Amino acid sequence: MIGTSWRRVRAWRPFRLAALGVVLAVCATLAPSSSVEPTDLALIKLKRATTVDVSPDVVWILAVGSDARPGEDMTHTRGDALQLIGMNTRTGAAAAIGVPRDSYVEIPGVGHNKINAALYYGGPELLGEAVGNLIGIQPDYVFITRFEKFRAMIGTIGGIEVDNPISFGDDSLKPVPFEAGRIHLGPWDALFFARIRHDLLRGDFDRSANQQRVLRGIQAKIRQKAGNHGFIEKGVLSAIQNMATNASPSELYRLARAAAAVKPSLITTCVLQGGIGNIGGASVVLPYLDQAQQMGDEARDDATLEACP
Amino acid sequence: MTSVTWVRARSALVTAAAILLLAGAAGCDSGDDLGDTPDAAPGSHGTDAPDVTTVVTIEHGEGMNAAHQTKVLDGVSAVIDPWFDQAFLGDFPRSDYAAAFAGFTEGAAEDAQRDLDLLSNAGLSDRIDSATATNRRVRLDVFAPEGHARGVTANFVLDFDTAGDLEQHLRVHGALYLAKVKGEWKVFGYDVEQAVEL
Repeated sequence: MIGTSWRRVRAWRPFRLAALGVVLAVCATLAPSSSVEPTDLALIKLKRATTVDVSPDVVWILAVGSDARPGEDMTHTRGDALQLIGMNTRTGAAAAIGVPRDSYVEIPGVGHNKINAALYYGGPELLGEAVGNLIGIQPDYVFITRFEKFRAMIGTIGGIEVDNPISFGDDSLKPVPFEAGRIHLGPWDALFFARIRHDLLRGDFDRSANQQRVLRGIQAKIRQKAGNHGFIEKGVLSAIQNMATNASPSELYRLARAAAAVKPSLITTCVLQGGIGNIGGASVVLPYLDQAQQMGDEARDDATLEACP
Repeated sequence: MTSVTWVRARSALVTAAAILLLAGAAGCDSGDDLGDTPDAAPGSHGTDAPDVTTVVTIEHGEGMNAAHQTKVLDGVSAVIDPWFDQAFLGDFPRSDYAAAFAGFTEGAAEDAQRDLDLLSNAGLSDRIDSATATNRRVRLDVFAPEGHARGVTANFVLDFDTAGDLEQHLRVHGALYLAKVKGEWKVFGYDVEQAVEL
């Protein structure tokens, strides 16, 4: 079931005076000595009160990257990128569980098939139900986007930064490989970073992990710019224009504030693992069902994954 | 960019002054500039101080027509003004601040009680007899898909003078996040900094 209930966020806030503190510390160190007793320098850190109320406490969102081509309905094609994202609005924690698109599972009312086919057969609700059954967490919301719309959203926020563990590329999409390390991704590169899999050692599993790096980059950018006047408002407008979702505009606005309140240090991510099989001539992932339920049990109530199985 | 002004004026003179002051302030994009044009001279105290009204502007509200803008200004002001008045201004000491958060969602109001020292003058209450506003300024960033407001960030500055054992000119500033709940604007989140002496 896809609900619409609210969850609550207890927020965070960065310390604006950190930079000032460094400057003052350096000045104090470099200042010439004087025979006059210097005035004591006291740096007072102002207190700050923050909260975002999006009750109840933990909200779950299924983020879907559709492979819809121009002219196709992105809510009834195949879902290529599948990330079940939880936000604990009380602690500022967030978790993402990546589901390989080729996971061979039971789709309610359809039978066994690749999980991404659920979007084709039954739209966002059926895909949400299929992923929810696999992990044991039913999403409150489903967000669906497609290639060009994803690029537009990345463009709206000015690109993202990701920590890339290994250089990789793609002969057609990215002939000049992504460098390892912290790199900036513009709209096209963010899309390629999330799509490329052939050059990755573990194929779709590694791609799913890269999608989670993109999600971290998006969250970091939202958090960084949330205090800029009009940033959240313009960002949610862009999201409405570039996503299909069951969330109302007002709900999206509150979720955006909740996303901005997530603490990067409390983000945990895992990718559901599985074996590789061949069914009916098609290559599939046979997901480790116990692992899927274990992840769900671990993260359901607090949006925190202690460790990936 | 849209820039619209709404002054909840208690007198025509104050209204005119506020609009003139606003003309110079419109278009700025930093939080601190909200407080650069106080409506009354700092240092005035107690009941002798002029009646300062809240100046509310819309900075980002693309797509809204004048009628919608007026509704937003009116609805949001109806939430923020009572908070200013009940939490920070008027006669002290006082111990019950629940009325100040009547315009907050239930969860945000609970959190506000936790953060009472920053969301009100509770921390000063025993040392002051009164607090009088010298500057009340709010700038709205409005999320308005298809011209209908669905969310608001209200960036505010409130300057006030305290009278009593503690006589100070203080400023509290920050942002309130609002969304409509059952047709009424409610504060569902906030980011408020500790009051500082000016």
